[in-house]
Amino acid sequence: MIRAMVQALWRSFMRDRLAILLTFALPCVMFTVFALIFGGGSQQGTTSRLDLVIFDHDQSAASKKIVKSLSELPDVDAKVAVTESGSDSTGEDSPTSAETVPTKPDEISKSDNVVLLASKEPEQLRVQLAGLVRKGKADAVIIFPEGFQQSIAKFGQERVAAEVIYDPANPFAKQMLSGVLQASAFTSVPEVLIEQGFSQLEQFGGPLTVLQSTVIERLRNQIQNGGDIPSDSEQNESDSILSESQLSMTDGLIRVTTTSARDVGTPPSDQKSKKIGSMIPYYAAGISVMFLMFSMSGAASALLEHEENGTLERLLSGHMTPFLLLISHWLFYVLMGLAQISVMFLFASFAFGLDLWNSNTFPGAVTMSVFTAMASAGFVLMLATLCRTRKQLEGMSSIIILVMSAFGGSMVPRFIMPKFVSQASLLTFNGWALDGYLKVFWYNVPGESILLAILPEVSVLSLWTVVFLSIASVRTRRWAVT
Amino acid sequence: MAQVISLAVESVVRRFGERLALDGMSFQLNRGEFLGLLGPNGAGKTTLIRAIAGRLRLDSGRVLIESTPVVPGQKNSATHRLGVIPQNIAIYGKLTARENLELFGRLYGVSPSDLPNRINETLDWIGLSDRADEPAGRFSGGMQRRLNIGCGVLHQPDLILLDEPTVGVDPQSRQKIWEMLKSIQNRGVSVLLTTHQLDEAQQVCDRIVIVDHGKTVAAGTFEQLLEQSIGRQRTVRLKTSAVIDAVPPGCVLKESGELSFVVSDIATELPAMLRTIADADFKIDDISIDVPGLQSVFLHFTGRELRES
Repeated sequence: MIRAMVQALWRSFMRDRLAILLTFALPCVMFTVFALIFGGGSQQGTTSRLDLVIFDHDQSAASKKIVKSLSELPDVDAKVAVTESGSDSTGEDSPTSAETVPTKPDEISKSDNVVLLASKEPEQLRVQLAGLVRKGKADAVIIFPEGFQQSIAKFGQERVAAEVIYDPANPFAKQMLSGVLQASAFTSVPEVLIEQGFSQLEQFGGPLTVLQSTVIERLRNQIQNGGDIPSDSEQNESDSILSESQLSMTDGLIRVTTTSARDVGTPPSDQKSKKIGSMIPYYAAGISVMFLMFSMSGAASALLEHEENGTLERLLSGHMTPFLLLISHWLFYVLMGLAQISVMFLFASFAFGLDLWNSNTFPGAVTMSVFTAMASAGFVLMLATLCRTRKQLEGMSSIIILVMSAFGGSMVPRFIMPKFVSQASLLTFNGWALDGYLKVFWYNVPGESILLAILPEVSVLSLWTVVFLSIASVRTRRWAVT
Repeated sequence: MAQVISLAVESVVRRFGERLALDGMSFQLNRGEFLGLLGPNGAGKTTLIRAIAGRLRLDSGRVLIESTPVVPGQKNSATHRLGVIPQNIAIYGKLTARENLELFGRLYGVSPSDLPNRINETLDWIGLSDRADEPAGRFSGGMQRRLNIGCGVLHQPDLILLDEPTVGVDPQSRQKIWEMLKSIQNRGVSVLLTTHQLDEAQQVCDRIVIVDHGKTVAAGTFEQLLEQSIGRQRTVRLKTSAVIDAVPPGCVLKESGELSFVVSDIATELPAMLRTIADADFKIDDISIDVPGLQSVFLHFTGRELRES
């Protein structure tokens, strides 16, 4: 009986060219628009609160001050990485202590703001740190390598670079941290800048005059004592000198290199194949989930059409029951949703190089698609049964789906949302669906681990499915015997 | 030979809040009979149809199909013998005629092995064999109505509930539909028809039940209902081209110049009246006698006020 109903719905759907167009083609068009707009990486410069892990291998006074400065930034939740032996990256001023170091490797303790690393070997440490980003435990990692202090404000020479390992899913973090690092260097270690800066000046421009040396000495003393710069004429002269120096260094006070977390520990040949616009997978998933809801809500109006045109009464006068009718529709929408997502991802794969066909992403993508389609189908059926007419459904579903899509991250990436909005979005099933897809497409979890990695998302989606179908089932009781 | 009762409605009562939709309605439908269920809007017809189909709980009373009680919400042998043909065209416009029949056949439990033959027979019966593979949405109103009926009878029910089967169709299609229904009746199927097409009901129904305010107000053949209501009273109309100086006794002169009078027993009173008119030197050009139809009977039993609330 269910098969007969599903077959009839499928045939009806396949003969509705407009519905097919809206279901399969429109999402691809919308995705293309978003991908073209954002695919090359965002230049919006929007800052948001970042989960940052800092590893200070240099352990110099300058690096410690910069670490402290970064830890105190209002837009950053900074944690400091230490090695297992306790030979940490933090200095005396760092916000951690040996007693509070957790015992499990990779563990992030929110109370301690410490990340414990198992390895000591520099490259292994780097891979381990990048793993934190890949797993979504941090938005970015900053590594201050040995010799970092000596490289500050040394222009025109080979110098050691601070490395930002960023999440390709969050290009804003990369932009933001590059700026923040320069700013922190200015505000945290001005004396180093002065020393290095004027040393460079003497090296390339000749020795300073007595007056200039006096001004520099006074400035150094003031900065070290934490006092204000005096406002006498002499000081005004030194201000102008400092100001000019600052201006000359704005394009690279400290050298910063950026690396995608996905590329750390990956052979260069493999990295090449993954070089796609970082927002492509995001919008492939986001648009898919949003249009899944839209197309399904359109299809779910068939349920109300049954009621309006009298077919329902005829169906229920036979062997059909309201529950069987509900399940038939749900099953059909799940199949339709799977077809829609498949078309969407195939299109994204062929047209935009979405990394779908590898053993890491494919099993996860299939699993996420099944559970996302199940939850979406349940959701639209719940909406349909909450409404009395198709007009009601059209109006209500448009608003709810748009709001949910916005909150869930289908329209705008959640990492640029305020933290509370981003967290609130986890109350929406599509937010979880999107998170699952991101784990699959972005975090490059190995194939054998991906199913375990998306288990929370799959579980929540299953729970939502049950909740939605239960509500829908209760609502269909109005069709039962009165 | 004793009549076998196909459907028995026994003192059914159903209240919706303050409103009594069914107020002890009772009647029977014999096997192979075509029974018309007539009543003004809000009389309780649809409520009763839903109760017969097992879609409504009764406060009291019961419905039996072939002696098996209908249990609301349960599919038993009673409901399996039933075919429901709703007033709305309850088919899938995107599916072809054949696919619609296939769907409802499967939903009504026709075995897969019987289904192809049943579909072909039904397509033949409803006259859509040559359009079987076209989407039903492209059909005319009459064709959709026929398909609507076909979907309700494909599983070969013993009793059919027909709700306004000829609404919105042209006379040719109506004729075809009535022929179809008569043919199915001839196969021994019982039909309960609700309609507002009183002339058609008078033609096709073996018996008629008139309901109002949730009660059965009259039941029987048309002649029996006529006898119970208007009786043998007839109105006679006379046309003349002569100038009428004095109206004959017992007659009424209409503005059109037509004379009319009412006789209680046409056999005895009409000849006498005609003699009286002839004696008055009244020259008759034409004569007509109004034969009351089901509409007059219906209005007699249900009154003339509108029932739209």
